[in-house]
Amino acid sequence: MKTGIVYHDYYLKHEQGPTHPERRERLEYTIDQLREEGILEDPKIEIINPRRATLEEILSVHTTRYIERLKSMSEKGGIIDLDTSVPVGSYDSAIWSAGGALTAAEKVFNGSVKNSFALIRPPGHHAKPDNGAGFCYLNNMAIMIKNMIKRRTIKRAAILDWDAHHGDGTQAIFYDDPNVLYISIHQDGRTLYPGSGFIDEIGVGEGKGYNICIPVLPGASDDVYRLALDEIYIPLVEEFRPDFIAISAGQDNHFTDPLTNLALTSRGYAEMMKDAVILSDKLCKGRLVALLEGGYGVEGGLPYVNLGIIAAMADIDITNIREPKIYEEVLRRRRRDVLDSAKETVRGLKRILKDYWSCFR
Amino acid sequence: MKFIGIDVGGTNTDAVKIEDGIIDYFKIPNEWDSIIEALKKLGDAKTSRTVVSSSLSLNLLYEEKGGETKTLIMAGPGLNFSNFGTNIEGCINHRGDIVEDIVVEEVVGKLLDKKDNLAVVGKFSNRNPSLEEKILNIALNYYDSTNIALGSDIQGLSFPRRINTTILSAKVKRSIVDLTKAIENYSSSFYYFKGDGGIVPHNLAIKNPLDLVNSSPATAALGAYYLTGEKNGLVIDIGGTTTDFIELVDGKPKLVENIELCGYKTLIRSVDTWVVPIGGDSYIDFSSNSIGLKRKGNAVAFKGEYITLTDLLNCIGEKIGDYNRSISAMKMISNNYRNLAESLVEKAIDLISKKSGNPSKIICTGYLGKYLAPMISERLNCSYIVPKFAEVANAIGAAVSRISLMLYQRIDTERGRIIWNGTVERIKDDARSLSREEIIDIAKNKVRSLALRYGAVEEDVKDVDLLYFNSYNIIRGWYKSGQISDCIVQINPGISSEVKS
Repeated sequence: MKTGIVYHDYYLKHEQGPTHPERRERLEYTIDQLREEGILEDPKIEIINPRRATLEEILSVHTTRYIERLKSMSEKGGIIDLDTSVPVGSYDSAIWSAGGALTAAEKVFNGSVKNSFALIRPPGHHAKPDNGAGFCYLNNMAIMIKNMIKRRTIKRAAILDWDAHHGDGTQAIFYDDPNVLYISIHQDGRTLYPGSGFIDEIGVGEGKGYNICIPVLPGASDDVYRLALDEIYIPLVEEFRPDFIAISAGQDNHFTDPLTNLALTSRGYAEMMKDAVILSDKLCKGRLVALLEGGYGVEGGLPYVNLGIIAAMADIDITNIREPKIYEEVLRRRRRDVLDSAKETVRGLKRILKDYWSCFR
Repeated sequence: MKFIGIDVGGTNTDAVKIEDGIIDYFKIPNEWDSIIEALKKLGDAKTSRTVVSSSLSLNLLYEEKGGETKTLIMAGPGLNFSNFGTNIEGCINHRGDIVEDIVVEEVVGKLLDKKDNLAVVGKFSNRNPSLEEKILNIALNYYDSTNIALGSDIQGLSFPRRINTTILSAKVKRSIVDLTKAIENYSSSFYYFKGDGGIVPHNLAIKNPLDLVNSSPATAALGAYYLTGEKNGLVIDIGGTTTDFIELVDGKPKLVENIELCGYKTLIRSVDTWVVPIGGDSYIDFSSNSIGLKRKGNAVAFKGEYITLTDLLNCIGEKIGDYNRSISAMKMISNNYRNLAESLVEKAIDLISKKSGNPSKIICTGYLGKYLAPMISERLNCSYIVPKFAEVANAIGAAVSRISLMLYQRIDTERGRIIWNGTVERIKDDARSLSREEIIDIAKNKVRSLALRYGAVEEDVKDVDLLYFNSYNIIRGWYKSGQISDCIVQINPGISSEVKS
């Protein structure tokens, strides 16, 4: 079966300001790379047209008050926080983006495609029920999951959020929900926005034990992510047995990203996605959706990372996924040996989580 | 001014001369040098504008006579393309920057395993041809330049399609060069007719010989429009070997991007055409009473040995060639030869009509156009036109067409580069931001000046269409450091204003 790519030129439209990093240039090079690689017409790939999310779908996550405020700001222009302005027309861009996430899941569940990657903008994982933040207006991931559960398409979803920033919005929305396992690997909150996502943030009430934060230190590279997947993500998801696997695919842990300090390579991304695909095959008939979140290494990172992710999803050979050699020096300077500290974090997490998960006992 | 059009079809080579609106023509049977024969016969090709439409390159590919191709690819990082050719070091990225250089010793090593011709293709080479050019310089020690094709001569994104197109190009390049040399003896500056309905100077066609693919149906469309003035309709060109279908929209043949050719997915753009292998020379298979879908030789009416569709038409009242020979031959097959001929012609009409869709009007050209048009139109329940000179509409289409050019332009102001059809030029660094109108104007002016240089007249380059536009800013560290824009413009195919006046 095919891999869907949800994309429309509409996702190029939104720009917060003429020089804001969350800009159309993020997707332009990726689309060029995908065209040149022939992937957009590969028989294993299907390009999917998105739709807008409906108000009802959005209100399953966000408050009426916030949506009214966002709509009115979007008419005249406004501001949410220092990083997040609301230029005229943002609301429409945001509902196209959320609609792209919904479309991606719908196409997987109606059997048109095996899995899908929504190349959507603006991103969503910092958006909380009552406010936007950190370049995000609507929480695309939460809108997708909540509506799939509401429609009884799924019962249990496992989210892996590998964006370099902690997905505080998604965490807040599902913090008390035992049906949504939220696992975030991100740069340590002491060194990066939004400053949260520590190992003791494990959920509340019935949701306790279903929220997992894996902070990693600046300089963390493929080996650290490998450890996090092998030791935490894979065993947890296998025990949780979701009927749907979702990924908040932020591409800003790439070693060329100007806003973060991590050092993942495009091959590292492809390998992570490959693991997620294997898990989805094993647990939920391959049903997997990835949503684009952040990622600002527009030139040396995004084209190769997105290509690698799509190749891994579509079971296309990833052995040649890498960055051009001129970036080797950048990687060498950025990468730090922080594996020992990561092992320490993993041990700490297992201690905290062992009361909730038999795999850690 | 005299306008000469020469069309090499499946059976005949047709030549027309148009002077002051008066059409003169002759047909000669196809031989390998029939173009030269036609030029000799025309005599005054040097003082005329000569356009040649030849299916030579296509036939070479169909007959798999293009030889073996050595393919060197620079896939760089990304997907694995090793099944397309021999991968070597070297990489151009999406910006058109050299991000990995070639290794000369490696290139030399790979070239030692020599084949008939060579294709050199890099990812994104259309945005920077310099690595391919470096390899070309090395390869010239092993291959003649007429046997080497470069990917950067082929526009549009898609590495696998560029590889395929370059391979096919390498296979046919030599034959086009040879043909060009032969024609040059009789006409120093002539044009080739392209598959998109326009014409190009011969030296440009050598660079990308696959532009000539499907030129024959394209000439039929242009010829049909010139002869009838009908802007819309389905052109059915019934020749000796095949029947070609082309839609005419607003006086231009309908075009299609990225055609598939001989099983290769390519970046070639040509008329949207389809074909049934039925023509006047289709032999009749009396063992199954059906139309044999190939040519075995001339019709009996033209001194051939096999009864063909042309002979059948002679048996139901037409008078093509030596029609009595056709009738005598059919009488030997059946006493009731007339009924048999009628039923077999019906079968041919069936096969052609089935492929015609639901047109509201058909324009029939080609050697059998006028005989079959009434029957096809009746079957399709539509009106029909058979223009005067329908039998040489292809050659007429070639003679009257104008120069059409497509230009791919990419401007990267941060890098100070402007790329026109794979050729990189510098622009001033201070040109940081251009408006949409400025970018389009640069492209339109460029394509106009190129067309004028190739011999177009002012009137023909007035209308330039914008086919694609995209531009965005390059931001580095919260500052705008440049702008990238892509735009594709084209001078549409059509009838040259020189002919009209």
